[in-house]
Amino acid sequence: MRQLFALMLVFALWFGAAPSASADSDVSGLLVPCRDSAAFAQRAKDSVSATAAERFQKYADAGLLCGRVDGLPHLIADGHLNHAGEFIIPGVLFLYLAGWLGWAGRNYLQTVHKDGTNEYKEIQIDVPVAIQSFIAALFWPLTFVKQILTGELQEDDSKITVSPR
Amino acid sequence: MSSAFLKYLSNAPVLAVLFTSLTLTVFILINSVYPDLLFLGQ
Repeated sequence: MRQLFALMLVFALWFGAAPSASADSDVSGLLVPCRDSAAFAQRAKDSVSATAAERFQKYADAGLLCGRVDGLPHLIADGHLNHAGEFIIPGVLFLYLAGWLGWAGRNYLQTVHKDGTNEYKEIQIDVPVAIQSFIAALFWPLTFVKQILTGELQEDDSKITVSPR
Repeated sequence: MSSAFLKYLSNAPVLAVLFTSLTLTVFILINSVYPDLLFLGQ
């Protein structure tokens, strides 16, 4: 019963309380394409360097939305695929890179813990082993799925200590 | 390069500073020659 009420609450909040704020429907008119924004064009004109001017042109060509009043680009993070390059792609790229770094560190620690020189090798890095760990970690999403499915990622229940009951 | 110097270079904080400095330098150099490569707008 409690779970049913919780589910009803989730539906009510999702469809009832959360307004559908879509940048594309743009009912409020707060956001306009940057190429159509006079304030944005003024900022481009006032820019000092050639790099800045090229950047303004890139933003205009890329279909970014700008504030109607401030003329500044606003990134759309609501999941619309025509604005994927603004949040979704950089977000997924960040997760891949952060996972790569973490998995490489995990690989390195597991390798050096095998031969009993772990404390020393955590301060004095074994560079060849570290480079190998980085290369092996490039395919970390696939390795992760494999290890989850084979149970390699998790420790045995019998080896987890619990406080006396 | 002497093995003592290589051992010093393999020290974790030394590697950390060197690697970070090198990465940031490469990023700055690439960005100044060919700017905004990371701009992903379509």
